[in-house]
Amino acid sequence: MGKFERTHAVIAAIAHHLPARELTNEDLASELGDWTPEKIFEKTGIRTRRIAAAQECASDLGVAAAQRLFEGGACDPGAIDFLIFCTQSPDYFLPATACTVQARLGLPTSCGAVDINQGCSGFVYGLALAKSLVEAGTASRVLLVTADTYTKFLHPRDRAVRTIFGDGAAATLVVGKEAAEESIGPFVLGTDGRGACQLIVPAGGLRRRASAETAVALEAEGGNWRSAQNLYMNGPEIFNFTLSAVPPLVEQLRLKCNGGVQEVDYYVFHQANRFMLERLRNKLKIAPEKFCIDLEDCGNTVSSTIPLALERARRAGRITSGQRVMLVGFGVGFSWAASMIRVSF
Amino acid sequence: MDAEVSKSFLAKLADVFEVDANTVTPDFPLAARWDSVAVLTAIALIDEQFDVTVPPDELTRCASAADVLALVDQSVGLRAPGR
Repeated sequence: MGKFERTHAVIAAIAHHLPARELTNEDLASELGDWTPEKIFEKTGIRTRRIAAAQECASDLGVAAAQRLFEGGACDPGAIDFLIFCTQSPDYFLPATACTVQARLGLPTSCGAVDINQGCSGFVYGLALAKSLVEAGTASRVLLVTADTYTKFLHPRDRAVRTIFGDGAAATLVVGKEAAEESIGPFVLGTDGRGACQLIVPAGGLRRRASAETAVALEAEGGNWRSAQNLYMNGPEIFNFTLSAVPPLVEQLRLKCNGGVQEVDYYVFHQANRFMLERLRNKLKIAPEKFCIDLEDCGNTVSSTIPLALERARRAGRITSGQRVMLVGFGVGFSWAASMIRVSF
Repeated sequence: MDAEVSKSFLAKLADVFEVDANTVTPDFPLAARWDSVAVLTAIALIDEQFDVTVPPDELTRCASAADVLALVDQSVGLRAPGR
């Protein structure tokens, strides 16, 4: 018996933008002293990262990514009826970055626009929201922009984070299409706020306002330096969280997809760093050719790693139309999210 | 822990600290060796070998390889059933 067609959300296009300035392992080695460029690459899988300029904010990166998407002919800005802007490094406390981006992109004033604040899980959360908006009939063309400039939070002498994070943005177009099968979903989402203190910028918000005192950098573990206004990452705790949370997350999603009988053609996990990805791949027994590792030239761009890797995998022919790809985001929060998508862009 | 298992684990622990495989005996001193990379690699190794995650602060309190073996034993014992 044939299935009835109804409106399903599909990813119609993805584009990304990286800032111009580079920070190579050679730069880091000469600045920080104790690690060689080769050792940084060996431990992280990253050779260079892109760094936003002093006056370049998440909105600027996101606008550039969206303009690239429009230039690619995916759709006209006038056709967008909802904008989701995902960032943890917004231009202002208020208004929402999405509102300023609506005007800059020339999206209609009839367009809904909201920010969401999630990091490494943000793209998959954004997809869940975009799908819901489209399939409920609230919107028909959702522009999901992920953009982060974490490097602005980093203390220059905190090599644990400087070796890993880079800035970047991606724009993803989610539209409705009449089809018998879903192209985005199912989803498995989760949260454990007990991990909030493990990856955090402690000061600069309203709970602890930026002051002369919070600006003072102190030497912390392993000779790294940071102030309360800088990003703090407890690497080992994050790693433990990932090792414990991600395998059951993948298993739950597999079970949710028709009891796990459907083949997964490719896996795109949040590109945290190569070491963590290799451990997860090993633990989950996923073949290397089915598992994306793509961060050598841009580092961990937080909310944009998954769309960026997806777009590049599609361009390089590592994934093809109709294939089923599992997306898995996990990190700051702690927050996690996994989804299946069918390649439709 | 089984003697063979602990012997092969110690040989792998040697990789974590980038020393020769037979250097790491139970009394091998670790107090000064826990940098961030060593902690991550040791956590990964223990997870791979025993399917258990150990708390980082307890790991960095291990002053010798024997302490690491004891921590692993304890963590395996405390592991939630059915994990």
